[in-house]
Amino acid sequence: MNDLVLGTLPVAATGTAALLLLLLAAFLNRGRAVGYAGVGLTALLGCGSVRLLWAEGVRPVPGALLSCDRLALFFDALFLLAALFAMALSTDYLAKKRRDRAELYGLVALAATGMMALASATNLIVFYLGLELMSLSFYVMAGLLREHENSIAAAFKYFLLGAFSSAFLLMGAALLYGSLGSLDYAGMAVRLAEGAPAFGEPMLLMGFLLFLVGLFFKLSLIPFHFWAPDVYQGAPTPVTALMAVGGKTAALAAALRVFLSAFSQSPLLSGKWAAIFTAIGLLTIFTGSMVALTQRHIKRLLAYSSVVHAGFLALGLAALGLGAPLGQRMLEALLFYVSAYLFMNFGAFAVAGAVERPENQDEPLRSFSGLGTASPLLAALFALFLFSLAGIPLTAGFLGKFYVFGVLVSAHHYWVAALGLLGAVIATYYYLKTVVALYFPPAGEEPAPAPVVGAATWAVLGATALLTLYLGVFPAVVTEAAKGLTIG
Amino acid sequence: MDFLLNPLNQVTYLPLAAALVLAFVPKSFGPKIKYVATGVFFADFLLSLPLWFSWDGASSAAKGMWAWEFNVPWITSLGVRYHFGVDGVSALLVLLTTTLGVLAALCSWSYIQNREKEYYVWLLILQTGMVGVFCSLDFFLFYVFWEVMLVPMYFLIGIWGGANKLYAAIKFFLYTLAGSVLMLIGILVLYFRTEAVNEGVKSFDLDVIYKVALDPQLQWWVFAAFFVGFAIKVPMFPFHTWLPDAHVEAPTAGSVILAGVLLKMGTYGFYRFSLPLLPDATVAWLPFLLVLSIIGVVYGAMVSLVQKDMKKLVAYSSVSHLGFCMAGMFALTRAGVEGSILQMLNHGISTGGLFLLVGIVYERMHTREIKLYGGLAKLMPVYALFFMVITLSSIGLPGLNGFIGEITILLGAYHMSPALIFSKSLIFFLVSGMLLGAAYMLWLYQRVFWGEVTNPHLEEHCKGKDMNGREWAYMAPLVVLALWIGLYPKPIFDRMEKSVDFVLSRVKPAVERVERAKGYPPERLPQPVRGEGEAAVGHPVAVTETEVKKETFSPEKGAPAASAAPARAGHGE
Repeated sequence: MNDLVLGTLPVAATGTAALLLLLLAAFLNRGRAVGYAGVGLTALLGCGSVRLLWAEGVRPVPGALLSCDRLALFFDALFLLAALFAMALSTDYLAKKRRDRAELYGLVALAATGMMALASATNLIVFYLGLELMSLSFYVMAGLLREHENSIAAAFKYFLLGAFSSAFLLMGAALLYGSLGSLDYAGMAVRLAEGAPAFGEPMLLMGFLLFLVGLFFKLSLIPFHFWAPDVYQGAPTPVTALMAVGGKTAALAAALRVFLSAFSQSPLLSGKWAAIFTAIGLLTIFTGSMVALTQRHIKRLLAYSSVVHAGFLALGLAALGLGAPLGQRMLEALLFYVSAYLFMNFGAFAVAGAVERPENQDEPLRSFSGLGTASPLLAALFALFLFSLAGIPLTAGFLGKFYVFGVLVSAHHYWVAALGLLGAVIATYYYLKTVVALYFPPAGEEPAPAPVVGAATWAVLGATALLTLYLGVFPAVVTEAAKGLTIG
Repeated sequence: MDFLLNPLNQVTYLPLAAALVLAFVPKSFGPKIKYVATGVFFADFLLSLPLWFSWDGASSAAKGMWAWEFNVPWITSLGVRYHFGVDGVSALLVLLTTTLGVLAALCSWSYIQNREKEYYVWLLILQTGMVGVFCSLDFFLFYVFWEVMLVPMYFLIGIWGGANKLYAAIKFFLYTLAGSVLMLIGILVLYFRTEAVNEGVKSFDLDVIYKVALDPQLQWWVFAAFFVGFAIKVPMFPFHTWLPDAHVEAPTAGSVILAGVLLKMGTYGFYRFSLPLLPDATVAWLPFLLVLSIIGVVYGAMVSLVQKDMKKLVAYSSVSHLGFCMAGMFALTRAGVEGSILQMLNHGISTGGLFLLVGIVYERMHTREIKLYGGLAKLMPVYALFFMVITLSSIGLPGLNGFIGEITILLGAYHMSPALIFSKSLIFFLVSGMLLGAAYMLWLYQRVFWGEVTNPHLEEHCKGKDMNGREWAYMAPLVVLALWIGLYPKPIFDRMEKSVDFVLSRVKPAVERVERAKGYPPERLPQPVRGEGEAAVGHPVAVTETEVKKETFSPEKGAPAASAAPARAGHGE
């Protein structure tokens, strides 16, 4: 078959799955059944097409709007896994909330389609389309529990701020187009390599910075993170997990691609890129950890945890411009990091969703008190995910940090590495505080009753826990797949 | 299969395997779990015995420097290897760990009343972590064990600790973590330089890293990174504040292991990594380190004097004793380093013993406040006797273990190269530390045991309740060990001799450089004796000097003197 058509297969297949699911939801009024159908369809169409193309390989087609290289396929696999986890968790979650929201599953698949488009876009227009497809699905999903004020507030807040940040991105894209005369990354690269932008440097820089601001919003880097805690708190927990993992990974993938294929061609822009991402990464790690210390609710805490993780990703993004061997190694390190982040974060959110009571939107840390005795297995898994998020060895989270900081040290960025790692130590404090709530209940307090956990949730918990541990000891599965991946 | 046949793997993973099994034992199994756990600890101890008894067979020159090596690739993309092995020093520390493990399990039988299953599971996992640290010969592997071990200790303090346990547990965890992430950067710096010496492949393997030669400037920074990690663990003077908190709040077994084994990891880190890998930086940092050690010795002892809580007193005495170890280590003479290592073992025996003894009366009285005691010798005479022996061992009475360690360190420090430090008289502050040590321990003894019984509760809770069989069982071995090391330390010195020589041979060129720069004729200086050069045999070391000096010269007299092993001359043979 034609490579041009083949290259759109993953996006098209997942999009088809999304449409089928939405249709199914309209005719079938049993949410759980649609959920299972969603898991099946997404796995079959999405994962099947990714698997096929990964094995076959697609030759790059010049001028194609979507690039289906292995880097994109790697990200596609992550998004599909996240979507599968989110769907599986939702079946139990919605049953617990006694809500039948069959349309959720189609929206999850639609969001995944958006993420995939975002990660393989080679053109600013497709970039924007993918971003909006993902974001619009998120806005709807955040407000899905419309009987809850929090959920409505989350959807509204997310919509306003998201639209705002999209406006920044669009403005940036427009200015970039104005000064470079091309919407295509490859075309932008040619102009940047030539050196002289058509309308002078200020316009180019302005466009670049506005574009970055839009990315910072999506990555929830400080000071563009204010939406994250409220939205994460109000949205249904499986959707929160998808936002935290999928949304962030997609923004990272898009940033990777646009930098590697366009901005890296200009010494001016790549210098600014490195400086800005380093500064904002360190700021995010430190401020995010400090603010996380004051959080009293589990989803808000996990929200700040994901903000801090975005800080580590930003340090990685900053080092992409280091040149061939180091930049490539950092790319591979980031790929491992986001894979680890997918599993450990989904696991943590799965526990948070399992513990959540039907009438609540978010559980205070207090209600985790004594989970260690009430439900030892659930508590042990949660502790594992928290230790992994903190970066304790033998978990995937440790190796993720290890790879990223390893490249920083080999690039002689000692101070950045030292500051980043000390920030990680501060971050450990709030994870430990959560573990404290699990295992060390205050004397005389009645432990909360053991939560009822559904089979689908157990399945997700088991899979994420196993992978968190397995990748922490044998990372080769992912590092081998990530080896040598690059754009093109 | 080979994996399981290796004795080091057996010792390391038996507790972990047992812990995994115990974790799934049903609750109805109840308190019987402590017998099973103790049995596992004892089995682990038995498994570790070959490290002592087959030492000569295993460490023959043909096998190289590491004994019972096990070396397979682990994470190939990073060049991480699963490299296990011990030298004379780490073998002794593994033995110390397994011995104290049995005692710690025994002393928990009555102390731990709630959530017993979890307790023994964590205790077993902790043992795996500790043994793993001492056996790892791959820097990545070492770091993994070093960090993972924090988790069980955190739970042991946090769940079964005293009133302020959460604060202590989190402080312990974060302090150590902060130190170790900086150490990680140091490790990475070394790692990225292994490419040049290992055919273009980066490696964490210690055998490869030992070949890396860093320029002194960079060494200084890497040493700084390691220093933070290790000094927090030791703990050296300004980094010690986590220790009293952790000790006071930890359950007895936690304190025993914390003092007996965990603190040794810091000193072991200096011995295994800082000295041989960063010789120039070692020499450059040496005055600073010695001053900190000596401040630790004196300050720890003085703070111990004014404590009102027995456990806190013992905790601060650890700061003092570990200062001694560090001073001996950085004397960079054979006697100094050997004394330092012996003192690590001694500290495990005597301070571990003191914590166990404090735990015994705490279980009866539920207080550790010194002023609530007095006249205990009348009520618990056997206990008083045990306490006396361990006290004397701690303060260094000749004939007991502490004396051998301290006198060896003093001699080693006395013979250190005058080129290395601005004033050798600094060393004599160590003696004041010994005197203060005798003062606080004997004063404690006096206040607790002598005089009339003034507290009616004491009579009520302790009369007729002298040490029971189980308490005998875990105290008697320590007394035997204290006496044995005090009277015949030769086997221990024999085991560490070659390993210490190897480390010193790595530092020696740097010392000589400083001596030459300062105009000291090298032949007039005491040098570490190297036994026939076997230390380097079979070991990929960049050191090339093969000349062996059997005798050394003391700078004061200029006459040949067996300055490198004075204590052994006096006590061993």
